[in-house]
Amino acid sequence: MKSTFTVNSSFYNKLKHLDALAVDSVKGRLEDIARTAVDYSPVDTGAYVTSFSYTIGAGRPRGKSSDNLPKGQSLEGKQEEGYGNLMQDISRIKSIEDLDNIQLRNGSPHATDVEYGENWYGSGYFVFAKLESIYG
Amino acid sequence: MANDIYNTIRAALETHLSTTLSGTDIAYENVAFSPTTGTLFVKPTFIPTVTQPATRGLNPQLLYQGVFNVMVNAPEGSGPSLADTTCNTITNAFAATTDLSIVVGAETYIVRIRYAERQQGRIDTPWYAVPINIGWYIYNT
Repeated sequence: MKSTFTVNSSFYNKLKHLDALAVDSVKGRLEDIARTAVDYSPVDTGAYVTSFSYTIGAGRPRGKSSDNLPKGQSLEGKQEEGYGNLMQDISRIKSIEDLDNIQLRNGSPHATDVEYGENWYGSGYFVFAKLESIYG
Repeated sequence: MANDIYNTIRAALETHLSTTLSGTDIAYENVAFSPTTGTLFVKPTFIPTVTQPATRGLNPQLLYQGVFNVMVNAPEGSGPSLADTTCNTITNAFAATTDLSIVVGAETYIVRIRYAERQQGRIDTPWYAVPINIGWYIYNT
C-alpha cells in the first residue's frame, strides 16, 4: 500500500520566507550586541575595541596588540571602527545555515586584562560579563 | 526606592558571600585592603547593567539586573586545589535559581541568581586568579 503526496511549491516558498525572517531577526540581535560591546569598551590605542569578531564560517578572528600604537585615540572614532568590523562580519550571514555557531570574540592579547583588570587591585571593564547579563 | 535598590542588592550579595566564606579574607570595593602573601582572598565587584520595564503601562515594575564578579586569588604555585575548593563553594552557594532575601525596614527584597559561571584561571603574580561571574536580577518598582 502506498500513498503519494505532492507538496505545493508555495509551501517551500513559505519556508524560505520563514528562513529569511529568522536570519533577519538574528542579525538584528547581533547588531544590538555589537553596539553594546563597543559602547562598553574602553579606548586608548583602540587595539581592544577593533579586535572584536563574530566568527562566522572560516577566517581568522581579529586580534591587535596595543604595543607601539599611539595612545589617546578618539573614543567615538575607534568604537565606530570596531562596530564597523562587526557589521562587516554580520553581512557575511547569508542563510540560516550560517547561524549554526556564531561566537563573539576579542582576540587582542590584553583582552583578559581589559575584562578583569591588570592586577588584583585594579578593576576591569567586564565587557563580556555585561553582555552575558544583558543578552545571555 | 529605586535609588536605594542597588545598595540593597549589593548588601544581599555581599552578605551571602561573607556568610558563605566565613573566615576568608574579602577585599571589598573601595575599602583599604592589603593581601597577605600566601593567603587566599577574594575580591567581589558589583556590576549593575540594564534596568528595564518588566511590564507595560504607567509606572511599570522594573527589572534590575547585573553581575556580581568574585575574583578568587590563591597563592601562585600552590596548585589549583585551593582555588578550586573556594570556587566550588561560591558557585554552589550562588547556584542558579538561588534566592537571596534581605529585609530593609518593613520590606523584604529577594535577589535572584540567574547563573554562576566560573571562568579560566590565570597567573597574576603572586596570585593565581580565578574569576566567577554571578548573574543576578530583581523585580522592584
